[in-house]
Amino acid sequence: MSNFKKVTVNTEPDSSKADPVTETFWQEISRSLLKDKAAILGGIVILAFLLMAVFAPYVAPHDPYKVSLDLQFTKPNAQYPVGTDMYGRDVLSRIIYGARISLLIGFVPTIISMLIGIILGVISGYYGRRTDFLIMTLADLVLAFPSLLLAMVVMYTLGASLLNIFIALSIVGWAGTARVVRAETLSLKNKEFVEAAKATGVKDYIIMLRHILPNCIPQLLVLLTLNIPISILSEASLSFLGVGAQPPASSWGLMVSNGKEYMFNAPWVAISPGIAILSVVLAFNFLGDGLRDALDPYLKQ
Amino acid sequence: MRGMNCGMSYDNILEIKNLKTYFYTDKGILPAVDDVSINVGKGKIIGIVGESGCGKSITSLSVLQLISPPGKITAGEIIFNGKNLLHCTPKEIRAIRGNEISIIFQEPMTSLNPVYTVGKQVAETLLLHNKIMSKREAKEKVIEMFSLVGIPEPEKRYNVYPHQLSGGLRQRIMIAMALVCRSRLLIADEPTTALDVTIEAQILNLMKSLQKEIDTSVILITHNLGVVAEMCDYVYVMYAGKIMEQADVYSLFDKSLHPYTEGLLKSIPRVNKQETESDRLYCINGMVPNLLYLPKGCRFSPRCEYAMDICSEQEPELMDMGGGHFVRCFKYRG
Repeated sequence: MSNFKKVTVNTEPDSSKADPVTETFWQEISRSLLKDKAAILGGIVILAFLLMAVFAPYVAPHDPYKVSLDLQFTKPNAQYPVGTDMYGRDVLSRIIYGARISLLIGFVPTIISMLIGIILGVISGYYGRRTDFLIMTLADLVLAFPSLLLAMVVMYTLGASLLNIFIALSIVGWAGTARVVRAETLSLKNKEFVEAAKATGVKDYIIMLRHILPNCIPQLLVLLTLNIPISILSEASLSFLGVGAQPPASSWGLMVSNGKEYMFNAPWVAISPGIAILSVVLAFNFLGDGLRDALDPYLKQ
Repeated sequence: MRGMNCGMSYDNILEIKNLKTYFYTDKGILPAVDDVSINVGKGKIIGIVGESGCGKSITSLSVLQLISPPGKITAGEIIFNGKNLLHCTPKEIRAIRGNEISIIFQEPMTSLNPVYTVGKQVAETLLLHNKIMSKREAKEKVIEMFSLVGIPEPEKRYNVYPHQLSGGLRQRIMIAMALVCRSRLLIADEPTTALDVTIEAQILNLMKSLQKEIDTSVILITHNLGVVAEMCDYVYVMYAGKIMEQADVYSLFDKSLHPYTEGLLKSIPRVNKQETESDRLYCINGMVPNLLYLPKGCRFSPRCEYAMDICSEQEPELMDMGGGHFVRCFKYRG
């Protein structure tokens, strides 16, 4: 009956495939990301804007709040590279300072809303049944409501301030992440390694934290780079509609909003912050696309 | 051999008594494990054999209560080391899982988390059940375990990700993970099904030598009778959720009683055929019945060559044929 050969154990390696090329996840990602020119460009632009925002007082050529009515609508020249606005304030300096608010709003509410989405999504997917139904119904409700309108309602009720923008955008943004994480969790929780973790006596929350979520990182990274520009655009829209950042603070959306009346006489006032928004959003999208391609093998897994 | 099956408990590490695990599906109740009793003697290797879908894996998962809804253990006792696991709290069960009872799953490819190095994963099991152990101690222990299960260059392999290893090596890692806490009982659920034949032999030999060294008991679940002959002391043959025959490995192969066991034995492909045998490979006709629509009487009767009238009317009991050999068949009545 036994057609097995006796093989001495403990001596021979049973495969040559196990070449220990110890390249970690991040090394692999950055290697393939560096081949993507658009992604590199995106990364550089984002980095430049970030540095600009952080070092605004050193970078800005003029005081962004200094009103000088004799300089109203100065055309772009050597002293004011993108001209001045209706109060004679330097547009370039205002864009540089505006990057602080716009990028802050790009990152903070996105990260908060994604954290909420991750927690609710993984709980929903892992426990299933009634918990899942409850959380997903809530997510559907949020998704079914026009997000800008919902954010406006929140802003009107709470009043316009930076903190309230964070709250408004977080409330609007978590549902998408929750859905993605829930879907991932549903497929991951039936994987044998999760079963194996359970069989070695690991607690539920540790399974979620250490075995399910780390396997969602590729999806979450892509989602992050797509959600940040959405937040920036939402802030711009809210400010444009007058419920976002309040003067004299300068955010890009507010600048476009203020400049729109002088579109034909002094187009640079509205167009240049618009270009700033455009380039940051595009840069994030390029980086996001690059990341998605780099993570493709992981996403396909 | 005899004392093992007569209900004398002192030398049994695990006793499953009249276990019933049912799945309450929308279409009806599915008795995946129906009144199964299994005893595992200390230091023994027990085999559970049967076709796919006959309840082997569900039996083993029931032991650690890894059955998720709609499945439910509805009756029976699972006595491990004198303690009924069905009365344990979730916390007590978690302390037993991976520490005193470990499972090796069928698929070494997916049983390891792809985002952690294999060394870390094995160390984690160790740290989970040894609160006072330091990380460095755990690492030393894991590397020691890696060399014990025959992983070449264990220090190097500690920092390797699962996808960088072959199937055979991954299964060795799984075995290392299962035995790193020196479990008293190892449940191996088709541990070699996903591996090729040469690796299979290595892994089986490894398990056998480790079982002696660590002095653990093993439940080996398989559909491969060759593996059973090689490894096991005592064998249970399962069909559609019930034990059909149980015997020590020699009497099972020498004088198998149940028509199902006989069919399984005849279905093994052989190279050195006798002149009189036909060239065609024998197979048992039909398929494992859908457990939702079990046939009346003996579950095997629709496929049985020897089926009598009574077989489709009444369900036979497990009968003691002496020498620790039990069979569930009307052929041997009276």
